[in-house]
Amino acid sequence: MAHEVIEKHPNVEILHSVDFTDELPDDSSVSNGSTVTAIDSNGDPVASVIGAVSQSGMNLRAVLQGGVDGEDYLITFTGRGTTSTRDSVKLIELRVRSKLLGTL
Amino acid sequence: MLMHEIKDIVREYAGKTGMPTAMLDLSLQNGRLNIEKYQNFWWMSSDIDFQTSNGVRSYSITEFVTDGLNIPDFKDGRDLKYKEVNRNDWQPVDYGTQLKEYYDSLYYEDQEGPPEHAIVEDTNLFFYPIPDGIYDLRFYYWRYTTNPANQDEDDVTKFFPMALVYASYKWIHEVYLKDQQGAIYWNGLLYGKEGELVKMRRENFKRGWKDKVNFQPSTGPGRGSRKRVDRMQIYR
Repeated sequence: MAHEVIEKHPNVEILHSVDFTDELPDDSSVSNGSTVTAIDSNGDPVASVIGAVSQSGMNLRAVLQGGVDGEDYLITFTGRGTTSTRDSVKLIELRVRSKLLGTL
Repeated sequence: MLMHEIKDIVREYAGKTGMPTAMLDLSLQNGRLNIEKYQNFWWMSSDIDFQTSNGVRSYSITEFVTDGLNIPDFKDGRDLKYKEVNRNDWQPVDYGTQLKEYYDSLYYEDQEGPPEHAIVEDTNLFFYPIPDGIYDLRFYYWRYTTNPANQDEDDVTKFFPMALVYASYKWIHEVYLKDQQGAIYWNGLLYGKEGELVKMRRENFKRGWKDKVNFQPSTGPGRGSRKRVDRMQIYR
């Protein structure tokens, strides 16, 4: 199950931050070996949905952009601890809709 | 209706963020499977060309192997035609009118010749007699289908989207919410007297696709023949 669900308009760009403090207690920051990847509802990788990726302390940040109207994307944030080099994963579901936006 | 619109309808009912998308996908997959188990519908028909191998009687329908048809979503066979490789006139093969044990007693164990009869047993296609060479075969069958991609649609989502939605709701109530009363309600809208499946059956009949039924007497003058008329030696 995804940790979070985001609905966005195809034209919107969102800077999304994922905090790995609880999952990587031995670390004070996530390294630049951390990755953010996306797949569509068919399971095919879609790199275009992920913009600039950066780290800020224990937060892994990525710009979520574009996307095809009506498509659902599963974004995998993989945070790698700088000290422990352990990996932790959080899943974000991104639903791109031009009409069905509203209170969740 | 596009597939993502159907998913959003189901999400609105089951909880936009509460229900995992993996469960949503399972509910729609099982919904479609339950619809297609009910009857053979027009969108499920297909055919495949393959060749026999000399001396090989049985061919796997579901597996991707030598002498296999590789149809993993096979549901039921419909008909079979054969022709010689250098010809273009298809000949009928008597398909599915008898059981395997009938043909096992009708033919010698090592008898060979052009395909005359064929049956499906479990997931294998058997020919009688054993093909004595390479023949072109065309197998007509029914197959289970899968839901289209988010951006796509097919005849089910275009013309009967609510059938898929009701089937999905029924599964969600039974398996996810564990609410049998709710499942009964959606079951009625799907299978009931004027339910969606009744409308689909009517459309199926209008389109002319229906299960083929062949009546063939097993005793008396009309009993199954071992040979084709053009191969019979009447002056023996």
